[in-house]
Amino acid sequence: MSSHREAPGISKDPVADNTDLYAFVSPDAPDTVTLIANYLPLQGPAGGPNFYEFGDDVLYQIYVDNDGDGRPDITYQFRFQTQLRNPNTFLYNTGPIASLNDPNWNRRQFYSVTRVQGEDERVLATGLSSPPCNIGPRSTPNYPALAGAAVHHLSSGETVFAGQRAEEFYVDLGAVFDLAVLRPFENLHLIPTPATPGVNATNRLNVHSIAIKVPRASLTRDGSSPTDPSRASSVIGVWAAASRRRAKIRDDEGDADDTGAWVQVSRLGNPLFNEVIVPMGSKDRWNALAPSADNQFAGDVLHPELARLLPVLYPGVFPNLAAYGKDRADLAAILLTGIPPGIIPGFQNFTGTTQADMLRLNMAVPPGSSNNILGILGGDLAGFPNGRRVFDDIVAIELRAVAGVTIPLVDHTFTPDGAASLLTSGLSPASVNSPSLSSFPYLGVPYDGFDNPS
Amino acid sequence: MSKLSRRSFLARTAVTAAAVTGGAVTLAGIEAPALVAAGSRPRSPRPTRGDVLVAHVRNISTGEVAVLMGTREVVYRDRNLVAHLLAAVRG
Repeated sequence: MSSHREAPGISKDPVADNTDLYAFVSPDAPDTVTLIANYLPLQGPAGGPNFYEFGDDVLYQIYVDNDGDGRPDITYQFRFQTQLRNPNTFLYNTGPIASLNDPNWNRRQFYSVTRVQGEDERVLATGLSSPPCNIGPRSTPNYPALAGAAVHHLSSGETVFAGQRAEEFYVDLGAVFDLAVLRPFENLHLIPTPATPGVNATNRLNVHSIAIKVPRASLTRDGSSPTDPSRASSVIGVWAAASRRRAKIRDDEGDADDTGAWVQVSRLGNPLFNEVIVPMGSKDRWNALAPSADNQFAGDVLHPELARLLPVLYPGVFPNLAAYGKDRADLAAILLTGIPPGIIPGFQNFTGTTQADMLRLNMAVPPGSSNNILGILGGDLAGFPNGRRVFDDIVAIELRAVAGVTIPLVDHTFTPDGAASLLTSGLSPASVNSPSLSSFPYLGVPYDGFDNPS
Repeated sequence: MSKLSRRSFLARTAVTAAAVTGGAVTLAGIEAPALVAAGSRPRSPRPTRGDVLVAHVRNISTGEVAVLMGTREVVYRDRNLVAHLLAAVRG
């Protein structure tokens, strides 16, 4: 998946598991950028009575690097606190939840937002309400209204939301993890079966999202609002993380104390980086590192395992890829440094020579009037890997890139295999039952448990 | 760890509520932030009311002990302390 359960350690700690990261110029407010970090993967909507929630013992952070060193220049921190109205019932809610203050809602979450920039650490807001989980028509009869009330406009200029949303990342997990089968091309696989349509394994599942809409000028190194895509100051690198305290001491009453420094346990910049690029034995360590340390994984980018597997698993389909033995400078540019000027007309998101896995966004590229889910591969400069929008077809884009479609950007002697530009997991945004929204927080209404029990 | 050993250890450290500087508490009861990203140095690393103190013997042979309290971590060497702790564990 993008980064759902992507490493052995974090797969056992879903509350801190950073699953997807999005960064894009807000289509309905183009002088702002929206950053969304998802956690808590693969939520079955009916998972009560202890419905999903953020961890009070987890520090959630979204980082912005605006000088290309792979270290944070601006950090948004989110801390949660759960409040229980009535400890003497097993119920999440004792009646319909009509508002965020409804006394029928028994277990609520509140959070604070802090912005850190250099030595300046500023609490922007406290006591912000998260919405409840979407339970069903009796418990949460007007869910969009509840979620809408949980969109908070801060006096500092940011807009924030933290709570359950629909999973918008579409992927055919059942096929991908069955020896990299790609429906509908399984008839070409080393172990062939008849061709069938793709299946969105994450459909009808929810996540917990932290979304923040920020004025662009507050993210640039010089405080300007970017208008020129060719300027280095127009580009930011973004990643998200979750951290836990160093030690947890459990008592004999079922309680626990956390203490010690925060230790990063999950990280996400580019989708699928830790999932597909980093080998199993290094994934937990990668999650604990900052992007500035990613040069040690450059070899995994320059010679990705998946690029070696594709010609083996699809005999005769990728002969040019199989014969290509050079470093994958195209992937290094996309994932580790950004795409330098002069490669794609009118575009760059180069952050310098520091190799760091960050989602790089050129904030001077305006949102398009017509979007292509293949992003830059589809000629749409506002899409991945220029940041990432919620509807971008990440699986197809990265599959095609790994299969060699992007090699000619840096090596004109290479001709991609014909199949490379056709690769897909057979899915599209239409494979998601709850569609993305055109306004903040952009992710769709979460699925309710009554109508989506399994 | 038994309650006796843990509680008594905490008591001996003389970590009392009065001695601990409390962090700011908001109206909603959310503790104000006191630190930054993992891997960065802590900011305003003051212990907060109710925090426990944990001593982690990181290396028995060298006597290296990490003391955790709030978001602070102090690492020092005290072979005598480690010897006393080992003796207590071994009964």
